[in-house]
Amino acid sequence: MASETNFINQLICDNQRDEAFKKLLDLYQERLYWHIRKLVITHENADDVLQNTFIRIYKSLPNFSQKSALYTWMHKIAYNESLRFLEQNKNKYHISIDDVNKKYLDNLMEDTFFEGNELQVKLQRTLSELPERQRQIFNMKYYDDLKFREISEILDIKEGTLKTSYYNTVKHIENNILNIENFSDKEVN
Amino acid sequence: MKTSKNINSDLNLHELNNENLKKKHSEELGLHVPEDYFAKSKSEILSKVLVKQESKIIPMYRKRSTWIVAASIVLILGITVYKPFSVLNFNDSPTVVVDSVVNTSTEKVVVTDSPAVYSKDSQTDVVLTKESGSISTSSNVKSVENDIVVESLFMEENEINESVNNYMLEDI
Repeated sequence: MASETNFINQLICDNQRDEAFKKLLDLYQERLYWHIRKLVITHENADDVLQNTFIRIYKSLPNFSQKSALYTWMHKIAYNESLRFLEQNKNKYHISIDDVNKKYLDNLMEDTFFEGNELQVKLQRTLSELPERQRQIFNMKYYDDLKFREISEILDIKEGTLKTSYYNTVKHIENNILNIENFSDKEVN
Repeated sequence: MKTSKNINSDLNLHELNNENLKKKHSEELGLHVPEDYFAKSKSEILSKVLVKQESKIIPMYRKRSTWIVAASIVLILGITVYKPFSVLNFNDSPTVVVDSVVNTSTEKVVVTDSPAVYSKDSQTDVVLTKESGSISTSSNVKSVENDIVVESLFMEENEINESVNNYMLEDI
């Protein structure tokens, strides 16, 4: 934790800021990209949001109060930037926070950097059927490997609620995938 | 040399390796990124951030203090140059005007040669004469002579003749 404090001090200090920021990019760029990508779906959008996120992080660093961990704070910025992007571009990309579920799979299929096989498409379809908040919780826990405490800080939801939501989602996905696989097996037989 | 994983553990961060992250997303979700995307993205972000930092311009109109200082300077200069409530003083008038006043008042003193005749205006003139007397003391005698000459222009010819005769007779 002392190292994190030192690192944050470097990020705030004018002389060391640029070097520390390069290190910050090395550490978090990829993780934040994947977090953003699952929210805005296409690579092109994720690229835009990632850049905006890091520019905002750079600007906001002097105001970082250190109430939460650096990683959680950055994740929250990335999450908010993604939501802002979706809101701003709802007319352009035909997706918004509200109808992201309806368009989720369509936009994913249009993305040139999506090459899902049958099972991956099935998983994506199952995820797209989930309520938006439930899908975000699942993604953050399963794919971004965030702790419930961290997700709770980002989404401002109680840990207990998050756990319940996550285990329900896992069960739902397992059932769906198994049903689909069983159905496929029956069809083959 | 410290690896990324070592730095992460130093910073008490997530142990999830970036490679694993990429693998998980591509194998399970079918999501891919262009080759060398993260390296390119990093340099792009850095260029944007550093350029923005270097060319950080603080517009003058956003600084309230600048406006206050500028307004104060203009106000001070304005008051110094233009005095809307100041009364015109004879001392501030050009020298020619002062001279004429001095001459006029002197003229009255010399010609009338009697304080009883002074009007209110002529008293003011005398005061002015006295005040400006310090400036023109050396030329007082000369100005009196001039005044006589000038005054003589407004005298009747027979009066002049009479006074000349008197002076000449006295001289003889």
